Amino acid sequence: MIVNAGEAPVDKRLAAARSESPVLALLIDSITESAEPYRIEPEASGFELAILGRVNGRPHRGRLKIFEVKPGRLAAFFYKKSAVPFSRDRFSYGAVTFTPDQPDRQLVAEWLAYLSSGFDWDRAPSHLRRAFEFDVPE
Amino acid sequence: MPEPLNPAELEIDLFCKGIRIDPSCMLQADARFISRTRAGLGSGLELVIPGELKDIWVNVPVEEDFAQDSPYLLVKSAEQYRVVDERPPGFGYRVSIPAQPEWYTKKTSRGVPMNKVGVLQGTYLGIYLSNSCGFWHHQPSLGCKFCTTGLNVGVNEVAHKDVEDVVEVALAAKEESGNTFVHFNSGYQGSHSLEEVAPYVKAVKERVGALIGVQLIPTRELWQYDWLADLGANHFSFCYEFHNPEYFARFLPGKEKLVGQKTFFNALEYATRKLGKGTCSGEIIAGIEPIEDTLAAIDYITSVGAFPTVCIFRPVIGAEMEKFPPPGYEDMHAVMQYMYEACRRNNIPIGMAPNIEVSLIVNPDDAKYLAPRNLAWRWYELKLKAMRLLARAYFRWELRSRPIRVDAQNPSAYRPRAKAA
Repeated sequence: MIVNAGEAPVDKRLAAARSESPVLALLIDSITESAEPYRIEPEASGFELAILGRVNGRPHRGRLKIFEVKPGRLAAFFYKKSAVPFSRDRFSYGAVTFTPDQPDRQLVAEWLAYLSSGFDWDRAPSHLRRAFEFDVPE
Repeated sequence: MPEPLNPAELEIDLFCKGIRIDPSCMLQADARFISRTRAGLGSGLELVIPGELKDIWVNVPVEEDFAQDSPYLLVKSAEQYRVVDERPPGFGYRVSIPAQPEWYTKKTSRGVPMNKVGVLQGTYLGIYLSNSCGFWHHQPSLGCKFCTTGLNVGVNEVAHKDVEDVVEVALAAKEESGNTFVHFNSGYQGSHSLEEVAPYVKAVKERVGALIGVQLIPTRELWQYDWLADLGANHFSFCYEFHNPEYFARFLPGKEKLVGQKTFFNALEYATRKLGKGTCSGEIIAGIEPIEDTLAAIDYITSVGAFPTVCIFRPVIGAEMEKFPPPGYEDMHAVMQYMYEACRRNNIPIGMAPNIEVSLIVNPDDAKYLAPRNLAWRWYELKLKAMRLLARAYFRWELRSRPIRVDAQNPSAYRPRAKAA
């Protein structure tokens, strides 16, 4: 479920994302139908969501940001935001690059499983790159 | 009756347990922003523990899961920060929070944020060069299992560091922060690491004037250390991490497969002979391999005239070893005391250079707080004081920019001639 669906900026962002890419549309459908709580971050660059709730006895810190790496190529970037309020640090758990117009249900399911696990390396999605050289927008 | 910890003891316990941050703190205004770069050890909050012998700089874990369970709480009251130990009897320790330098939020002439080129770790400027560590791009990854270098580049850092940007940042750090030491490191770059760092070393020595440290995967072409030393490098450090060969192989797959532990030893010994006693370091991680192996590493490093830089293992977020527990205080206290005493036994000059406080480790001279203050301690400290006085002129010279006549692009003058067939 998307906990902040219904808020105007969120709905606007969701509508825009659906029209940008069939993969994003599939992702939005998946998290909408999921029992797990997600929050969309409409102010963030790209398309970003955070998973809420707890994992391994602690609050979730996982996030997924999707952005364009180059024309015709997007990246799904997995990270944890800093626990320190004033810190801008981001803790990367890798990225998967993909083509925006080829929806893949298996791919999206792997992303969400990885996110939900608290980034358990045993649940890492196919083709996850831990190191990459493109910049991740703030 | 428990006693409060001395500054180095507190430093060690903070490394082992981390700290929580009370809402009374105003760190956004008071502190340097946290930006994890390089291997990930800089993930914490920089703070300074005042002490009668010296102040201790420490980068305290705050992000990792174990830090959320720490008995230590950072509190601000009446403009003073204190580390409060919530275990009875509730000791409190006054600390200071180093302010964020203004240059952190500036950009270079090329428009690159300076804090994405280099950051202060303690009082030195740390710069991770060029591309991500090559170990990370192997399939499967050969990255060191404690490290997050490959996870930082492109996220929190600029992937490629332009020489001009590096010079500007080093100048800003010198002029605004009194920085005296620029430390370059990089991950595995094949056989070209030292060639890639050469232009940066020369540029900083010529145009900034600073002590320069180089921490790269060692080469078997040992003549390259002669070349870099003549370009201006004052210090080489070699991160071989684990003395026990089994642990070396298990946790450092790239270093095992593509470099070999012996290469580290050969390079450390060569560079130390080249630059002199106390100039180079062997860097190891304490808290993973058996303590006996860590002590053996300290014995080896100091026996060849180098000083040990001993990192207390931190299970940093995103690393393969993220779920490993941090080490215990008692073991780390024993290791650090042993480190100081090994330096003393081998007459290693520690704490010589001005204004170099490394916040990621218990510096060898931090550990003076740990050893009994007997005659041997007093004599060693007296010798170190005398050496620091004698070394002043040398450091004044090294901190001045000066022309370097050595070619940073072409090391052919240093390459040994091929033997006749």
